[in-house]
Amino acid sequence: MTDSDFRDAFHRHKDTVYRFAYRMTGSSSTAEDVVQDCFVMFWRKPEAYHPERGALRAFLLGVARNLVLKSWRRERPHAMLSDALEDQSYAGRPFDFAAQERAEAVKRAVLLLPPPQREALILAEYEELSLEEIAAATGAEIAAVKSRLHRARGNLRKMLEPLFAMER
Amino acid sequence: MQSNDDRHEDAQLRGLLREWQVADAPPSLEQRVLKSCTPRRRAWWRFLFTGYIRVPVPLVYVLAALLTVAVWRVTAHAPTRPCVADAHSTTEGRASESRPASRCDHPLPGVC
Repeated sequence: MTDSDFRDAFHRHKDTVYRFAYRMTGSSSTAEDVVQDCFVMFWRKPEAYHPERGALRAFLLGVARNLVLKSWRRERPHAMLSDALEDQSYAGRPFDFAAQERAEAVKRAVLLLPPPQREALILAEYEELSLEEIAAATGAEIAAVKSRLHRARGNLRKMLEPLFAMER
Repeated sequence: MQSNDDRHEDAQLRGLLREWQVADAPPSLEQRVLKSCTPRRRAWWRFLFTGYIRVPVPLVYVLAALLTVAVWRVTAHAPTRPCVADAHSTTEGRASESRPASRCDHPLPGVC
């Protein structure tokens, strides 16, 4: 990979990777670190990307996703990022929106989703990846991605119920 | 199959999700990433002091063998210094005509 190839890839995908990392972590500094590590990894090991397996965007989002999980493990070594702990999260509890702006409420609701559901939802709704691309990026089966998306939407509907009620 | 209500709720949810907009990556990030990915240029002469090269092991064997042979040849076939006294006897004529040197200028004792 030449220097100009790398710059081109960086300019095309940096915002996507940054937005994904920000939505996953809720922190701009962590998101910046993730973008940097993601592209440094790509610069050092360009052979890790196989074009026949999918688009570069999905590959970079997969790398970013692993880096986000790594940063969580560093910060919370005992936290497990599996579906088994989904029931222990705050997902599904209604919010008090009295003093909250709508966007902030959505952000908080998304950040409260369990990580597997959150990444599936962000990749599908915000980055508009296909189910196959999400499965490749997260290392999950397509059926599992579908199920996570379904549960994520259900949890968001519950959490954002007061906003829906205001719209009616 | 999704009912009309579900579809409506999905559309509502999608609209609500769109309200959380995230800004693009800050411009400072570009410098940061490109700086850590672009190799720094160094003066060529610095390589003479700080650079290193990789040498294949078989080549090291060959170079070591050549060095050993070269050292052996130098030490085994080093020309010995001709003795001053011998030089005298050969240049002064036949053995019958030779006579003991009356004067010896060689600096080492016992040579003459």
